[in-house]
Amino acid sequence: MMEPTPFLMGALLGGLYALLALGLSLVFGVMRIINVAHGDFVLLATYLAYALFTYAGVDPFLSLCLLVPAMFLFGFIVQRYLFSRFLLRSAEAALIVAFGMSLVIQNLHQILWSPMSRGLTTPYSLKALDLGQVFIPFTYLLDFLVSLGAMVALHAFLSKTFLGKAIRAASQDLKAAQMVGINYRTVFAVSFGIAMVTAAMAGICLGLTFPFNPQSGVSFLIIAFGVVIIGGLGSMIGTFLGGVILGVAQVVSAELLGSAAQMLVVYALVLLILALRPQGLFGVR
Amino acid sequence: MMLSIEGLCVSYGRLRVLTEVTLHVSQGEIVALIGANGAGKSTLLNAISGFLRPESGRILFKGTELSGLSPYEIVELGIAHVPEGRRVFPELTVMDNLLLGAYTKRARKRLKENLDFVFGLFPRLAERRFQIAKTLSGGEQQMLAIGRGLMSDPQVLLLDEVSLGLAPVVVNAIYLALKRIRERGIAVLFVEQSVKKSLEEADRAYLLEAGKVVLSGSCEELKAYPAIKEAYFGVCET
Amino acid sequence: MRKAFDTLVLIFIWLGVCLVLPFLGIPPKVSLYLFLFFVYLALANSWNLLAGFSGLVSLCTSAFFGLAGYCLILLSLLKVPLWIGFIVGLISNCLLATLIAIPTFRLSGIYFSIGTLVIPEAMRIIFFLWRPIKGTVHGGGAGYMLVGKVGMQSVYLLSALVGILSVAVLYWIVNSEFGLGLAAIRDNQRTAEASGINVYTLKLRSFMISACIASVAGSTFYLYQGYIEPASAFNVKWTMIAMLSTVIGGIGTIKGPIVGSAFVTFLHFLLARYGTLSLMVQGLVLIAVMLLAPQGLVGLLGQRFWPKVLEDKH
Repeated sequence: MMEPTPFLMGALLGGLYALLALGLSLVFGVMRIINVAHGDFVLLATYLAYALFTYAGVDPFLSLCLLVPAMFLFGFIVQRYLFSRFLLRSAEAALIVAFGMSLVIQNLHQILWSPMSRGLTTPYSLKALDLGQVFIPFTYLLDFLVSLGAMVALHAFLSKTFLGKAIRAASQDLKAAQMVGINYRTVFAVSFGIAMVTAAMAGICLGLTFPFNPQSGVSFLIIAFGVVIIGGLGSMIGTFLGGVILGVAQVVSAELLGSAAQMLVVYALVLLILALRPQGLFGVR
Repeated sequence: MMLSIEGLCVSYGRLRVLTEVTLHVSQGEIVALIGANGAGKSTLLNAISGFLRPESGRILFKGTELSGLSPYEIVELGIAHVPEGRRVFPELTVMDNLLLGAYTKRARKRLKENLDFVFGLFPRLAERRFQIAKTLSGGEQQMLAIGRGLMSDPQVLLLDEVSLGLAPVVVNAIYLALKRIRERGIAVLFVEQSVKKSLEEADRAYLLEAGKVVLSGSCEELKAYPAIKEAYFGVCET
Repeated sequence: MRKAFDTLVLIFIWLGVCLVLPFLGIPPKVSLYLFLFFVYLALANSWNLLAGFSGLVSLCTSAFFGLAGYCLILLSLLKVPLWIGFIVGLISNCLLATLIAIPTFRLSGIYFSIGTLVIPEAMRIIFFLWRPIKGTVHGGGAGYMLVGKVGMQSVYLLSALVGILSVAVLYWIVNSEFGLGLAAIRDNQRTAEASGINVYTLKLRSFMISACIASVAGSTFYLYQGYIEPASAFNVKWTMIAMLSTVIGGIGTIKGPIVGSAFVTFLHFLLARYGTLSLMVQGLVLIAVMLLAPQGLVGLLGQRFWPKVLEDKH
């Protein structure tokens, strides 16, 4: 019988993975594009938080105050002035452009920060909770709480506010949404902005929990995609559960196979679900 | 005249779909657009509501030129388009669908008023206000689509094939509602498959054939027309 | 029709010149870039076959490239003749392509693209962990050196052959019934399926041919380089080269990759000193081309200087 710790850790990590996937899921649901640069955008926030932390001593969570509006603006502009040109053309065009962006940002990180591995090490990031049977790193708990909070907030926004409902409407039937007076360009840009806000939160949490380097963006993307694949689209609960499944799979396999191989298990799981049940386990669409 | 279209030409790429279409709709009127499939009826509605850019010609709404405006701007001005196939937001509730109908600033000012009107018009929607739209029956979805259109506080209502796939009882209820909408002062332009139904329910009608207006007039006049009788009622005049 | 023939002749002359040039006594550095041109050309055609003609935007070109290189070098360490290494590379990549197809062909193109994104990453980790032969290169990494030496001239001839053959293969496919089926799939998969086309088989065939082209390109490259390690073998830069060459030249055309690869080779020559900036510049160029001239140089020129667009696409 295995120790419960890896399972619990995996579940907590799953919350973070769900947060990571939220942005990808939102953009795909509304605009039908998979932002291949999503992971790199997340990493952008991580490096920004790192810069603020290293050079200004700002605690990463505090830097959210600055990063949230900054990333929202960034997302809004990227969508409004870059991706929007390709939406009407073809999904492939958007993919290629996102791919280009991904490499530009990866290379940018490499130049600014060198390929060296870094981490957001705050005084509390090394602490852990020892509850006798289980042993939980403090950051995992924090990540989970932040993720939960973000998901609850986003869910409330999408279901209670006019703009939130407009975003959901646009993702269900774009033409009908325009027929009730919704300016789809604004909706798309806001959605992308929100996606970047969740990316910022995920980026900070990831930076606190794991070491990162300029290539980490790709792993982030694959994890986010994995969560979306497993959990299915259109359901926040599905995304959450998808994250938990992936998180548990990863932590448990790290225990059994060593840390180098854990990503392999994640990749294999993604491919497996794609092969067997591509619409996801809880997908609404 | 509320809505006035003059010499409208619309093409899909190199394919000309509408040629020199001229029509108008005034306040307090119900006007029908009739014609066979592919005659260009839906295209005309899409051009009015901003989804298609005309090649030439004018679309005037209370004097304002509409061509070139985005769909959401046209809704803001006061034209609502209820599309073919209903197209309600499937995963949202009836209430949310209606609320979203009042998305524009102008419509939100009269939200409560219009909501009461819609519920009065279609009590069934009031009963099912928290039901998810995709679980409604075809007729209820159609009512919801019309209600949603009304929520944008329009002065012109465009309806595309509202009777498609619905039982006659439901269709009658919907056309009854159209009369009440007309009473409210909203101009109605509808596209309808059934010529018989159109001529019964509308005040005036335009017959579209291969993208051109070939006949127009009051429904009384048109009913007497041999071509209409022959082609659509199967009456042969020898 | 005459105009199209003229450009075809121009292209053949260009390729012929590139082929012959190194033997006429030019500095070795130039031969190197000509060598790279042919390798890039093959990579571009590999990607173009999928993205331009089959509607599949592939992100795993580097997986095939690197795997071919590993087959060649690992087998050479076991004293297996190099040409067998080439063949084993081909077979392995065909198998890999078949395996990748299973999960990724099921849903729409987006899922294919992300599914293929996973593969090079997975390969990198696999070859980092799996060290079948106790040979190592500098720093104890998972790198290997090629055993056996091939003359520079032979390698160059091989690359030219590979590059030109890749063009020929694409030309042949595009003008065949197979190509027609692919075009139908690219335009509308569901309709193609409804008209009786076996979508899965055709896509798989296309994917495997693409993998084979990338495979010989990889084997040729590593024959020249003589040394391989996971991070660079499965690096995204190979996919970027394939994509950029095709996009700059013109996706879905035959002449596009030729023009594009020449451009990218020249770009690499310019960026040779600025290694760290290379990917960023290429990414920016990619975005710029997609924004400004998405039909590529071939499409642009076709519209500007000739009345009819050069019809390579069907």
